[in-house]
Amino acid sequence: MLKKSFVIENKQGLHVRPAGVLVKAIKDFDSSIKINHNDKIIEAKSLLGIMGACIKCGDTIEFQVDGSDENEAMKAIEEVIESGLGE
Amino acid sequence: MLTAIGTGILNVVSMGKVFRLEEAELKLTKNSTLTTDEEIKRYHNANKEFKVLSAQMIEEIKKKSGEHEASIIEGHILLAEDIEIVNTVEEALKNSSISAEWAVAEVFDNFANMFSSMDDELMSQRASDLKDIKTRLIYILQGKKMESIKDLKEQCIVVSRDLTPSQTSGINKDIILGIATEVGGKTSHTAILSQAMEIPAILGVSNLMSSVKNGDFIIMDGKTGEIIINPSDDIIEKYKKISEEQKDAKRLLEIYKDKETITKDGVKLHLFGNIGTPNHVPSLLKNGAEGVGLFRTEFLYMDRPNFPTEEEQFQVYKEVAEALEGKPVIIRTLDIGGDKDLPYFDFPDEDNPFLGYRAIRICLDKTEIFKVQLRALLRASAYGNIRIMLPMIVSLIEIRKSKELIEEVKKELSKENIAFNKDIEVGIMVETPAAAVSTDILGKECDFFSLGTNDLIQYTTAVDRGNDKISHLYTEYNPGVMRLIANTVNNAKKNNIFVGMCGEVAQNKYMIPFLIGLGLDEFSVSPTAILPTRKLISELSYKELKEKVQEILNLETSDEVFNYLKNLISE
Repeated sequence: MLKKSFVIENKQGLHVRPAGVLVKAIKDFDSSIKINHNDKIIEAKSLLGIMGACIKCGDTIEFQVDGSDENEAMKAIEEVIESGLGE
Repeated sequence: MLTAIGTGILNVVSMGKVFRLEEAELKLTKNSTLTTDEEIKRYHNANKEFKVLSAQMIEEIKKKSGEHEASIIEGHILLAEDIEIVNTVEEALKNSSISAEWAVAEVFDNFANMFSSMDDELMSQRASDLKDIKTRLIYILQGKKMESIKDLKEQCIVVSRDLTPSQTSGINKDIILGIATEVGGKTSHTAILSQAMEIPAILGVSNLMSSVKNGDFIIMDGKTGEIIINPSDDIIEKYKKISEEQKDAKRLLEIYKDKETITKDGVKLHLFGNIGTPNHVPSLLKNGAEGVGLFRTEFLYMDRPNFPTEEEQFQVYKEVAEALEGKPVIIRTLDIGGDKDLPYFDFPDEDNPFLGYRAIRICLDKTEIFKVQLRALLRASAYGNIRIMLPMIVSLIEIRKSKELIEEVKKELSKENIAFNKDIEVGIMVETPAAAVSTDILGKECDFFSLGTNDLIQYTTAVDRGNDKISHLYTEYNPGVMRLIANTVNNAKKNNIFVGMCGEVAQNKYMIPFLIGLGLDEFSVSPTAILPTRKLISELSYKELKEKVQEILNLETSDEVFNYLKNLISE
């Protein structure tokens, strides 16, 4: 299992658009992908789950990736977050 | 006669008969006669069908109202397939012998309630998305077709509690004269649709549905957000007049949309638009721009934790170049510093940031940052008519150094067998007095000038226009500024290079006659200023104005200049 933390820089936090960009980028990986946000575990492939978590600008979130393609999945996560999630 | 108030989306008057769109009533049977597996299969099939129908909807919307609207329905597909939702529906079906319709309704309502309790406009918007998806899924499960306003045949104003994106997809603006709803605000789907399709809308009108009947006549005033129900004839006449005036003004401008920009005496000029992000391109093209005169690249660098990569920049430049289909796209290299900060770049503390480390000065100091942008620009130049514009130039040295870097990058790209435009034009923003005065020298080594008037005025008059005490001194009519502009255009002509202007002055109706008289080749203005500017240019004569230029340049004060130019336009 791989773990890595990121700080969310999107001004309005992970609202629909950035959350949608994130989900689109990772939903086809086989690995299970979870987010730890303030000790709550969220299903990262779920737009609803992410939006419902109310992740704000400046929050730290930890991705937990586990599965056969975990390296590729983590790379995709890094890339999409670094690109600003479409914003 | 009753009046209701909401938020107007377009500043126009519209009027017509009311068509009430009632909310879909769902009749659901709770208990299932099928097995759990059969119900789960029905649910999955409905989801598949939902995806197919949504994809068709997206195609239809893209044709009529553009990408943004379509992205809403794309979000719906994502939500319908969301694993939290799918899992919860499946679980509900497994736990009790209920129908798929019932499970869908329950699960979507639960999620929608969760969002609508969040007390945040974006979130409650999501609640209405979920309700929209729910209704559509249930209709599919029941084999029914959704009522859509796209099938209406008679002109009307649609009045509804809410309108969902699926209900509004594919609507016809010749039939739908306006939209009024009880819910929604400036950021709602309906607002976005209204803007994209130019259908007047008034949203967030409380108790609207209990105030109007089918067939009532209403007037909507988008400016004030007023809805007048069954007005008297006098009021109707008054608003008809306003509406006609608005339509005349618009029609006049539409005449100029696909026209060339040409003076009364037949001199062809170029009318470009300024953009800050690729999102501005559609409105630019819709308004008939002949190119991009200033693409500010700062947005790529802002609101993010690190410098944008070459690939990210390349994609953006390419997208704009391709969208312009060979029309010129003048891209300004990074203009950071001054009042524009970056969170991940350490700017030195400066007493005078506007006279400090900014724009080309940073780029020539940190060439590793500059070269990333230059590579992206050159690579994108293979996909359209890109020109590079350097900001904050004060001497020939900066042009030479920048061109050396461009040559280096070209060599690298050639070695790597990457395509680019070998003859890419490199020009400068003329926005410092030093540059404007020495344009005779600078013009020998660059391909074009573009006057950046905001900074040029600031630096020439030595005025910070945010300072109330002296802001009246900040004016383009200052004879010093006027002479620098004239000098720049004249020296461009002597050097046989293209000269444009991308500052606010280019859309100032009092300045345009002077600029035409000087022989400015290109005006770059904000998208909404394109058509009024083209109209004005078509009414002016280059030959007549040319005769007046010297007279204007001899005027001695800002007031004299302003009064002269004002009289010129009212003649």
